[in-house]
Amino acid sequence: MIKKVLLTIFVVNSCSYISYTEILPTIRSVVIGAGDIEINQSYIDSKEYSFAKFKIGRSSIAILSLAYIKDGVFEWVSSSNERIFTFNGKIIKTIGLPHNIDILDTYTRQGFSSQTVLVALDNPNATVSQFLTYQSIVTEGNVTVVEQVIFNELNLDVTNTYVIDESNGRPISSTQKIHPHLPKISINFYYK
Amino acid sequence: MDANINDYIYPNSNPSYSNYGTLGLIQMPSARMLEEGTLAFSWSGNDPYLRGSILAYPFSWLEASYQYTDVNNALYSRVSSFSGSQTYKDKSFDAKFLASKEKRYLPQIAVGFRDFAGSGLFTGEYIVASKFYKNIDFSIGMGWGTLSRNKVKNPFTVFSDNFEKRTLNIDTQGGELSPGKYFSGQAGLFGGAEIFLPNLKGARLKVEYDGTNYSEEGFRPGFGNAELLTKVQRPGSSRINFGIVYPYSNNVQFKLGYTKGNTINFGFSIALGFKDKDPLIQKNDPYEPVKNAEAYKVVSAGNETLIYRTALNVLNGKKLYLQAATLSGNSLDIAYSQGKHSSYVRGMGRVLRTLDSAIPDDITEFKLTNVNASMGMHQAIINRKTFNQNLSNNTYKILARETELTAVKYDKNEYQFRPESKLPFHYWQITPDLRSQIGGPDGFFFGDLRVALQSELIVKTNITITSKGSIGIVNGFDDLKLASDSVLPHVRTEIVQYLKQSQKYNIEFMHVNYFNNPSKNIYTKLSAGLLEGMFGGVGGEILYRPFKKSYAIGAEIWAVQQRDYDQMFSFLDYKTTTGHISFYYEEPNSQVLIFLKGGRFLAEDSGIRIDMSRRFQSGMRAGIFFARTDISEYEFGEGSFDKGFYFWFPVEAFFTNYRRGSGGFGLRPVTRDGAALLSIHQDLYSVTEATQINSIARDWGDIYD
Repeated sequence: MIKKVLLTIFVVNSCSYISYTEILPTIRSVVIGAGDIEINQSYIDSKEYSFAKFKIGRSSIAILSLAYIKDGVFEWVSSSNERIFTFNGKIIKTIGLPHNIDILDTYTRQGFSSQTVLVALDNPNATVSQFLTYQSIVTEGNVTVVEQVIFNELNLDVTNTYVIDESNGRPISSTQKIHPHLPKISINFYYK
Repeated sequence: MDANINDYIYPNSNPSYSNYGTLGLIQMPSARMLEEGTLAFSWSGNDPYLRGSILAYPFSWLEASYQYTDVNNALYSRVSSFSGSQTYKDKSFDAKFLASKEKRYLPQIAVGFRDFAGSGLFTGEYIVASKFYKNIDFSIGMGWGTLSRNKVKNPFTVFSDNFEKRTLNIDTQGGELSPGKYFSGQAGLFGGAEIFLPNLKGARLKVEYDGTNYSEEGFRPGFGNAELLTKVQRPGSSRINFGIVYPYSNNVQFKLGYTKGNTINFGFSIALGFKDKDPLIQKNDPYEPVKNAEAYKVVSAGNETLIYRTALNVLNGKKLYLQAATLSGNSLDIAYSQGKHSSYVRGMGRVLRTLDSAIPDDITEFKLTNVNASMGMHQAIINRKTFNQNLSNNTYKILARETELTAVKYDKNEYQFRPESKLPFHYWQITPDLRSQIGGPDGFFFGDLRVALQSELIVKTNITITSKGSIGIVNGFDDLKLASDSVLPHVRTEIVQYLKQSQKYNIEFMHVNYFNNPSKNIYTKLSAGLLEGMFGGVGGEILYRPFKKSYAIGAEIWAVQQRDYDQMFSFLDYKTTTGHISFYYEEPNSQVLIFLKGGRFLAEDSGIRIDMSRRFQSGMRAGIFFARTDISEYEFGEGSFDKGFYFWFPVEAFFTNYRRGSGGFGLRPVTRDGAALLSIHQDLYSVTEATQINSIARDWGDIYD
């Protein structure tokens, strides 16, 4: 096919002309959203390492593999090198997302305990303080931890949840809003 | 607390728009600018006007806009058989120039012109200063023309008496600049503030002291075409206007306001930034490693034929098409073409990574020749070890120093391995298509939704037949009846006949093309057939485009005959020969292209056309053009001379993967016959874009992408 960069073409004058070529699939994907990734047993069996399914908002879905565990911090890495660090299922640092966070060292990594933490946000860069409070609900075999996060300077109050397997203390799933400009992130953890 | 916490407390803080379409307060302008490379659309209703504006920021210091204003207190014409009861539609251009950026203690200052090249109904000039203090953006300015209500002495009268009086001449033929009246006559002050509300997603309140001189704006008794006036504009009962802006995002805003003490206004705006690469949607189309690459290396080691076949196989698998190859010693010379990457460098990088993974390690050098339409575009000689050394840290600038880039004359017969292509090959696609006619006396908008078949038949590698035909689905052409009033040959003004008589089906173009690359830096093309929607014929182009320069010179000549209105295979009587000498210069840093075209146009008028555009790293190009030929303003008709603007968007901006192609939008305020050009598909300057080092250098950062 001859490649071209068209300069000036006016199909009819005194009127607008737009090529609608290939615009429709875009609209469709925006309206319908990207397809989900179904995690079934054969999918789990095909994975060599622990992994997690991250769903950001309604459409962005990614599988991240567990790369390292250090001092209780799990580092999950995607094929396109986005990295998400979790502690007890709570996202404490991200790299490569459109908007990243880094909960600074003030965070006490001792389970879910009420505290005030400093969080570095990027895009745009700012450091804000968060007040965290927790409430636990025990259901059959699991503990659901409800986290109340108050972004002190932003008049923003969000509720995150963490479902913990009571038998081994591992997080099973979570829903959390980590950055004012990111939609909620849903995570399902799969351990091997 | 970080200073940028304000970005979270007051998000979506892009400047907002006035009711006159450009950035500003409610009715008044401000000195604010959007980022260069931004395109925007704004719409507002403020009785008696409904106004739609297209804004472009080709540079960080220039805001250019085009407005369509539906003037609801005036008729399009007094002749009901001509325009029925349609209201007046005003077309105008505005421009604002940044004089100085905001500093800690100094405001941002801009100089602007409203309606400077239209009918003059809203003409005014201003100098305005804007300064943030905490969460309030203050603006204060001085205006002339329609912005002179709050009277002060014109300071420019100190310099010349010429600034004392302003010629109040509403010329509805319009289209020309009137530098003699700018900043002259009565001056007036205006000002206001935009108050950002904390933690409300960027919502803001606006208040302003209105400087609009409503008695000098639009249609009014005793001035210009007052016979078109149907109702005098409601006089203002207050000079204080209020408004609120709610941003849905940084780029989408809604607004509501109260002006003149008696009028509610409303509107919305959309802005899209195209300054940077991949501007709208993040790409997810990384290089995928070749499967069984090591096996290829082992099997093909020491076997020339297998090396060729390996290269052919692994490249074709990635839509990077090997055309020919030669192995000489430790150097593998590959000629390839590709239609996926609009960045030639990314295409080259993908070829290199693919070859590097599968070709035996004793090949130490790759010599890559990029081919398009069997014409050599450029050649890159790259040391394999250097390429790999810079891969992990993406130190592409170091690789650039070690890479030899040259012009090339491609001759397939000079290669040892020449795989046969299965020709003829046919590309085709079915797409929706929209033809439209706006701003005429019969009605503001006429649309024609169609299904189009576009195809390209490759007969030989340098001979193609390109065509586009379409079938109409639904249109609103029943009331479209404007006849040409042109005194020139009707080469474009019979547009209504073409639209109406081809509404069931048509062939927009169908022509055969022959491309050739007779020597380095020289390219030729011959075409024959139905060249465009209104003309068919035969002709050709020659282009001299030296590889390491920023200019190109071309010549073209076409013998054409006007096509019949049904846009099928018959012709009308009008025949002519048209031809031009073209000069192109693209400044490599700003990517500003100046394109001069001089010669004989379709209506047999002679003159020069000037086209200036800027390409941004995203691939979006925004441009303007105008032409002056040896016809009088009377012969040209409304608008006085040919002019307009256009945008080209890279299709891949809307997708997560890379794909070549552009979608365009262009507009001329008025369709006339003067300075009309043939609309040639696959013109040589476009097809040979990769033959100049600037096109490679601008995207070199994509080599490891």
